[in-house]
Amino acid sequence: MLNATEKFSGRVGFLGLGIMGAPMAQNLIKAGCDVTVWNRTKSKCGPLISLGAKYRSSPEEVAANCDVTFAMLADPESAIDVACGKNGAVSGMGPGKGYVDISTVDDATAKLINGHIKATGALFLEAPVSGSKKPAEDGQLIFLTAGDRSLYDSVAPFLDIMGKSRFYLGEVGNGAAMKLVVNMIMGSMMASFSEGLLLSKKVGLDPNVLVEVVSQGAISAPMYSLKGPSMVKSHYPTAFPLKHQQKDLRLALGLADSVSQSTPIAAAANELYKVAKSYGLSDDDFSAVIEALKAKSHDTA
Amino acid sequence: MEVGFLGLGIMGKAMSMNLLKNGFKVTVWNRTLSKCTELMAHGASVGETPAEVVKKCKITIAMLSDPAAAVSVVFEKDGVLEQTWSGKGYIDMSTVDAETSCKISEAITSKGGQFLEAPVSGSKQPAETGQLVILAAGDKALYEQAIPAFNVLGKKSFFLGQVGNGAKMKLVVNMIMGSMMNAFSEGLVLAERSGLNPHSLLDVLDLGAIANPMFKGKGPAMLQLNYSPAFPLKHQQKDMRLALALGDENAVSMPVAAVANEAFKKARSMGLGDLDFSAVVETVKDLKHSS
Repeated sequence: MLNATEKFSGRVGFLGLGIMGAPMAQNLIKAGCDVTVWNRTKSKCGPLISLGAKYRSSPEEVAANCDVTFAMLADPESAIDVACGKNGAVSGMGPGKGYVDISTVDDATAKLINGHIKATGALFLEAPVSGSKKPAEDGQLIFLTAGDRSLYDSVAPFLDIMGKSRFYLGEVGNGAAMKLVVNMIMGSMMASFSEGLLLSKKVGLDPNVLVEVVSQGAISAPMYSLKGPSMVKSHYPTAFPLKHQQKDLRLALGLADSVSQSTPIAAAANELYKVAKSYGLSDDDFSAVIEALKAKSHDTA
Repeated sequence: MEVGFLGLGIMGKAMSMNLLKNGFKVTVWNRTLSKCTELMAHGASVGETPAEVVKKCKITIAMLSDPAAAVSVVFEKDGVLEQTWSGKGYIDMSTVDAETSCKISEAITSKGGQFLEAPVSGSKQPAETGQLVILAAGDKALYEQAIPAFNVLGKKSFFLGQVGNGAKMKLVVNMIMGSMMNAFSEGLVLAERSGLNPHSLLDVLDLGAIANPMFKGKGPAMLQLNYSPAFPLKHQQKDMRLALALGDENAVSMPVAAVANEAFKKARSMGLGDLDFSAVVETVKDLKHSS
């Protein structure tokens, strides 16, 4: 594999060191890239710094001191704030630089950030990913990019360090749309799987056997085999926070609304995630949505 | 080993053919007798009624399309109950509700026979290639006797305990499948409406945590409006309805399944009942292009 610094001998910025950002930045450092980090909670930068990352105290300073800056924030609001807010990345961008936003946002937010970045003379690429914590750690993410083609070509070596495959989907907004469609299907599938697990238990079947039967047939998906066993034990270790899955469903419903498409399955699934949030499960794994089908706290079945 | 086989539809024909090709002696019956002809060419004998088949065979397998058909071959004139049953076994591989299965079980066992329900997961292609997943429950001894046949018909068999458990497991699996097909349909149409290439969506899905053989197998055909039936939509809707009834009996909330069922009902009202269940995607599109 091409050494990243041979193809793009530049300084890489990384904004946002959460569940996803930390392992992604770590993979870049381990591959020998020159990485500068920033995170709203400074302490999260510690582990990366001890691996060799540099630190700057604001997105603006990171952008100003790097050639390409990646951003991995939790939602549209933080993505906009980090890019366009006070001491935001936009203030440090300029011609010859690139901004790659890996956050999952709606297409309007992607276009907004794109506009601000391009206005400085810099290039922009949206690049949300499919894959959660473990694929991030293992460098097995799937990048769904759109925007400046030349920036895509330049950062491809970095994407190949962090991921297993990448797609270039055209104009800004297409990456966001693709990500939302994928996560809409995923959220609905998890809700349906939850209904199945609960029904199987209530009618006297062993839900572990259901998981095994599903894994043998046409609907066998890695997600079911991975999460089924822990869901049966009511364990929901966080790989993808439920609040983010619900955010993605909400944004997907917004996308569907904007093209006048009815999506009753996604709408029904979204309601379940909202109920789960009201039960205090926002920071659990999104598989905790199964709890929304039970009565709050008192169901011991 | 000699087995009887009642019902030569999409599934039954492929399954009985598999048994014949693997050295079983098979006596077949089908309501429309002409469907037996091809099986005869491969060495099957024909029974003119379900009762006649049972008379000849120690073990009889049934593969009918729904509870009504499964009940009729048992209880109606010339049905299997007209024969003596001691020392014989009946294996009903139709997908029915637990109540129907129990009713048939009781009728057979009260006449001295052994009963096994054994609905399958898998449609036409797995039936043809002997890759079904068999969800058996009922008489354990009959299950053991059936294993040679199950090994030909399927890739894996489960013994799930008392009669009713096989039916329930099948309905739960097909409930998830029906909801997944609806979720997939919403995604395919939204991708297209948002200006994405839906083939790219298929590529992305195939790489990640929600990749599955159903999306991979049916996605491209759906994009070409090809709904050649492997699993008829009307049967999928029947399964959703039965699963919802099961949830109803047990006070289990199933909002996503309920919505999926509505979509399949709509598809039936649009005349899509005999097409593959993937044709439900047309209900997602129809809102814009309604005739």
